Amino acid sequence: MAMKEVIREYGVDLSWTKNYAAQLGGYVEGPFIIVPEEIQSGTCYFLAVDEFVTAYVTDVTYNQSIIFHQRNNRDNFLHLHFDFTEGEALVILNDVSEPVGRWKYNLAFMDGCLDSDYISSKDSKNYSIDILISKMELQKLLSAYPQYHDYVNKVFDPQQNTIVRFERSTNKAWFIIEELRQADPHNPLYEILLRGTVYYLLSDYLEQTLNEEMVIEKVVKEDLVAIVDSQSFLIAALKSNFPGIKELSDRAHMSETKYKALFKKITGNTPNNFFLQNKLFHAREMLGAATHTITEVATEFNFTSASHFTDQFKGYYGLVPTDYLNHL
Amino acid sequence: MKEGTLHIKHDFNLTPEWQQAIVDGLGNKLINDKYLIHDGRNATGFSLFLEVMPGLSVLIMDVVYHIDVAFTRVANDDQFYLMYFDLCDEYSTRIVEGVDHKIRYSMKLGMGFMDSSMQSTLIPFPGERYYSLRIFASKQLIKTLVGNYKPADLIENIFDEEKNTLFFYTYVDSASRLLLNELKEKNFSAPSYELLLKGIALKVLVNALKRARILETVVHKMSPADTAGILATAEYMLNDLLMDFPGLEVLAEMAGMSVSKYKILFNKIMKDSPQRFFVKEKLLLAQSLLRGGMFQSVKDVALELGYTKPGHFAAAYKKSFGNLPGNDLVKKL
Repeated sequence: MAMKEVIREYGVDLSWTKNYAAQLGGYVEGPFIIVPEEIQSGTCYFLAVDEFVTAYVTDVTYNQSIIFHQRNNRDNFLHLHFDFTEGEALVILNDVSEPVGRWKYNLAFMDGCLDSDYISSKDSKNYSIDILISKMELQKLLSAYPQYHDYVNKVFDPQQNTIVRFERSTNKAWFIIEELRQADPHNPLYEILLRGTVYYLLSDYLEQTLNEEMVIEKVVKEDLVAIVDSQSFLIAALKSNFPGIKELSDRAHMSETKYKALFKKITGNTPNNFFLQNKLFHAREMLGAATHTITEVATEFNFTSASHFTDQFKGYYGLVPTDYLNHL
Repeated sequence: MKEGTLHIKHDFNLTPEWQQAIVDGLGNKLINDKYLIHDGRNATGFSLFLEVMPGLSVLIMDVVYHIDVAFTRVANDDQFYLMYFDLCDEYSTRIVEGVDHKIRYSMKLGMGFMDSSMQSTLIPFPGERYYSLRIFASKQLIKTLVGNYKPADLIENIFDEEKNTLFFYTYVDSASRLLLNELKEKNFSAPSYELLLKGIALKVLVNALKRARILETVVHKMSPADTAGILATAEYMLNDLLMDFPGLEVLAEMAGMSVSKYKILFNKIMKDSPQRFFVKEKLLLAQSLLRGGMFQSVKDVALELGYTKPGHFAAAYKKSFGNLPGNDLVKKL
């Protein structure tokens, strides 16, 4: 069967939504793009965050495979794409295909003038946030800072304005998106939460990029796959002890030194810290449900003792779990 | 107010012009209509004011005042609410030597919610870091956002100024404290800071409005005298957590109202009954005393707090925090 093809045009102003909905056999209703069940189940939500920033949240399961041809008619914006798809999804750019999703590249930053294709496989669960930002506005924001002129020149040079970066989002971005994901888009507070999330993500991305803490453009693809696989392994093991660098580097078929250096380069974090931060985030969620005691949470996530858990929690979040629990 | 205090009167607004009164009073610089940078003479630090979206603005203050200063925010008729999130060390104990050499303790509640039509005065302690996020939100916006949670007629009554006064103090919820802790660590002159401030203001607003008890079901119009009376009794209790609960009659008399009215209004403003409020604060104090390494045993802490039976204390503590006081005790060396 031929794959369904859809042409999608993004822009900071929302004029694209109607045509896009129509191509999927659907329609626009309030902030939602409603699409027939035979194509997808779930919700698509768009929002003009302000005059210069637009956000589009996709939370769907595809009931058939679709290829989206991204053909923007305007080049006055930049496109930041966070992707947490479980299942197969690919971005094709200049005939090169890159796997995207929760355990692949999960962050892409590209110039609005570029054409790309996005393939979603049947049964894949897509969760993604697209943020479209006015180039002029970003340029204006950065022009006040002489130390970033090089960066501005690189991004906004009309001769080579073909910026594309495939990256991995920070842990913090992932946590903040996870909170949005749990909210109900039909609640009036959702709009406020999405605005807040988008500003937070932009701030986090800008901070990372400007400090160039995580540049993975120059990483060999096999290495990237190995490290991301390692991250996925660590997340699955959150309720056990830290597996140890030896075991992790063996699994990744690398020396310990190379493994540690690459992990840091790709995730901006040490393996140990990555593991701990994710443990603490999930422990915090469990505390938030207010159904478990601190000791139970500490045991669940395999901290050696409640007081060890308390120390780690305090160190990362700046307050102790009891205070957290008492003031939910 | 102490003699020699610099008294600055100002109002707040959803748009930036209100900052001029602060500039005139403290003699500092206002940059781009949003950054107030203190030059170190009267104060050190900064504040930043941003319009986040229509009907919503945010102010972040991170200031140490070097002089005695009082800020009176005069009432204004613009239709908006003010939300304060103060990140002082809520649980750290301020120990003040009282006149009779008795040790006194006092604590602060971190979050306040009030109508722009009420006047209020802030007197920061000179020399202490004052870190506060304030959200200004139009009444229309807040009403729309909570509209789904409660029946329409109740919403009408809650937001009807003739029938109800929205005004209360409570703690800062945990999720918001984490966000504020994060913001506190950031460099305010980085290009990503304004975006972060907007993001955090919006998320903190969502957290506040999601809290079940925050917009009450007790609809009651309060006079300024009622409000002042209730706050005076809360302060009275906070200033001496070592005493026994003074009793509702005493407190109601202090507030100048009947016991039944006192109970209703106290609950409306402090989001708890007077007795529970007192016990909760006492136990939070107990927790910081236990952890403070100032006492030899749980019994000593219990006695300090006026519990004659350590067993009662332990039971109340366990009920509140889920573990026995012995688990939190850091012994005096």
